[in-house]
Amino acid sequence: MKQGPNQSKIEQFFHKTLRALRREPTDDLWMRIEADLPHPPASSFWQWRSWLSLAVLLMIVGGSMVEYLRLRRQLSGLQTTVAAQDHLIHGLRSEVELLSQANWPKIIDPSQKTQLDEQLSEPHKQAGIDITSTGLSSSPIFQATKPPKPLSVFAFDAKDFNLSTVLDFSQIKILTDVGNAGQLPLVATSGSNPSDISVSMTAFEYPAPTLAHLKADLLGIDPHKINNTRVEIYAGAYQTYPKLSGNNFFDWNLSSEMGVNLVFEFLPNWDFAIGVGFSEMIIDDELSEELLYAGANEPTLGVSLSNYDVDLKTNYGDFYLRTQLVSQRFGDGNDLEPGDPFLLSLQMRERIKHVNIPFTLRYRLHWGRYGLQLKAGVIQRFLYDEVTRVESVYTNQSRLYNEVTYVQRGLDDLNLSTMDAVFGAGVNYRLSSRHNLRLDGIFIQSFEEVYRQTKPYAFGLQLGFQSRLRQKN
Amino acid sequence: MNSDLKILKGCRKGDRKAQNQLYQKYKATLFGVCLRYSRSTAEAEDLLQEAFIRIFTDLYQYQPTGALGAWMRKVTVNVALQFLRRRKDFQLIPADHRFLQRYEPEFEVFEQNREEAILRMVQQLPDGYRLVFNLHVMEGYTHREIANKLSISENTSKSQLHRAKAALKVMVEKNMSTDR
Repeated sequence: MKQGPNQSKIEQFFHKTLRALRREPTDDLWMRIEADLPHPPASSFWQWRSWLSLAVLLMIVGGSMVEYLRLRRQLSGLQTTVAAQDHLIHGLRSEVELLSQANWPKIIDPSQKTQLDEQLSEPHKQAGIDITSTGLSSSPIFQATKPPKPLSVFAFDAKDFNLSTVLDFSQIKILTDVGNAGQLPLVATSGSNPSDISVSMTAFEYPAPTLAHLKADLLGIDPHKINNTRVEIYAGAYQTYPKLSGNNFFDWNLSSEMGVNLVFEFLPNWDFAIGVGFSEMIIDDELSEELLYAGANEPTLGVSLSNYDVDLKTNYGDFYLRTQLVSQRFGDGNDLEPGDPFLLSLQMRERIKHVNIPFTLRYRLHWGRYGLQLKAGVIQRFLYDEVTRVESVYTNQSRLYNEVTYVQRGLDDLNLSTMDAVFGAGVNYRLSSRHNLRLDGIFIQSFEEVYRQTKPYAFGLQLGFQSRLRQKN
Repeated sequence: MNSDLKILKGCRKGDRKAQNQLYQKYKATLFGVCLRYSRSTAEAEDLLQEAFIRIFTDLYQYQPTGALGAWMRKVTVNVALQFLRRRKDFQLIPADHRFLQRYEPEFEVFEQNREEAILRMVQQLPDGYRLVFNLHVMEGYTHREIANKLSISENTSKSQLHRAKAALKVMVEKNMSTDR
């Protein structure tokens, strides 16, 4: 406003003085103003970034939604298709089931895998024994999960206890399905008269798949390529009896044996074992009231007395007694002179040691955790050492001395090699898929004289530990 | 002018730097306005703070056809009016007319710094007197405009102005008196 003409002097004075008044405010005023000002808007750059981020986010969300809806529509279409083809799928499934049954166990139902694993780790076989009164016999197979493959039938006529018939069951193949109980083989035992009321015993052998054959089936390879060779360490103890053919009287004692076998499964359930072992036969021999001659020079029987030693010459060998007691007793009231006869009884223990080469066939009747098995074979023995000790010397029932001597000379008439037959039956306990223990009752019969008209036989137990060799890939 | 336009653009975008530039350029002038409308320097600073916030907020209303300084001054005066009327002890028509009896002249200030002395005289006027005096004498508003702004009658405006001038005259005369 310009100064008007009617403005008073006082107005002009103040206007002129204060109109253009300029003063500096305090320095911190700007900070107070700035604190009260609204925050500046984001720069265009950040605005651009924000909009871009939002756009990308919207694109992602939108794209995901579109894709989700598309997949959902596609899934819905597939479900419709599957529903439409349901009957076809059922048909295919049935076909697969049929195929799996026909090709068991090549096609494995996953739900049966555990069961199959058990079977794989536990190969087994079964045997059935049936007693019938006619020419027809049957035995149930307690294994409904897979068809049996019987190989042979042994028919044993209980009437005259002869193994009358051996049939090849694989040629018969008469199986009757009895539902959950399994299948019933019908076997005609030849030689039996259906009209006879005779009891016959029939043993069936059902070769269930072994580990090797299960693997072979599963892998589709030749079962003979499956390595089912085992190494066996065994030890046995037997009570040995002499089967005398002359006048010798021997009291045979315990024998022992130990060795290593290599066991081959050459057919399902059939093993062949060959090995090497060591055995020791113990024979207790007693010479009663033998008329001995002190200091005699007879080559086969006599006593030579010199100083405190006694030399015994017997038909069974020469023995050397070094004993003061004997000489003292000989000196007490016995005016024996060299060559004088006197009666002595001797107790001797003979140890005959052989190196053995056993050849055995084994057959597994049942092969589970606990298995049954039979074995038969021969043992070729080679003499490598013998020790004969005089355990005690008696005269007139009074013991002269019982700490006797060493062998001066070996026994005569020992065969350097002999052959024994061995038979066994026992149980097998599977420790793991690779290791098992077997315990067999053993009967051994020598074919040849081991020692002077003596064919010993033995009963005993044999314990073996088997370990399957690893499969080579 | 080009500089003002550039600052103006920055201030409208909220740029702190531009706002500070505008503040630095006009703070002295506007603080002078505030001093005339307020009772003290501290009150004048509060007023100036509020005035600048209003300026920055309402800057979009400014039309570059007019002078920026004049627009800011006008905004500051309006803020001063609102500021004073918000005060609890604001009295447009003073109840106590004895303020002149309490007035003590500042001779030394009057002689050495005439401007400061004159400003203190104005600041010691009652609120109503000072407001009408500033609006009419300093800003050039007519009594009708003042009456509209303050919601009073023109006669009241005139009487307030008359009393303000009379009071200032007495104050000046007291300071110019040789009878000390």
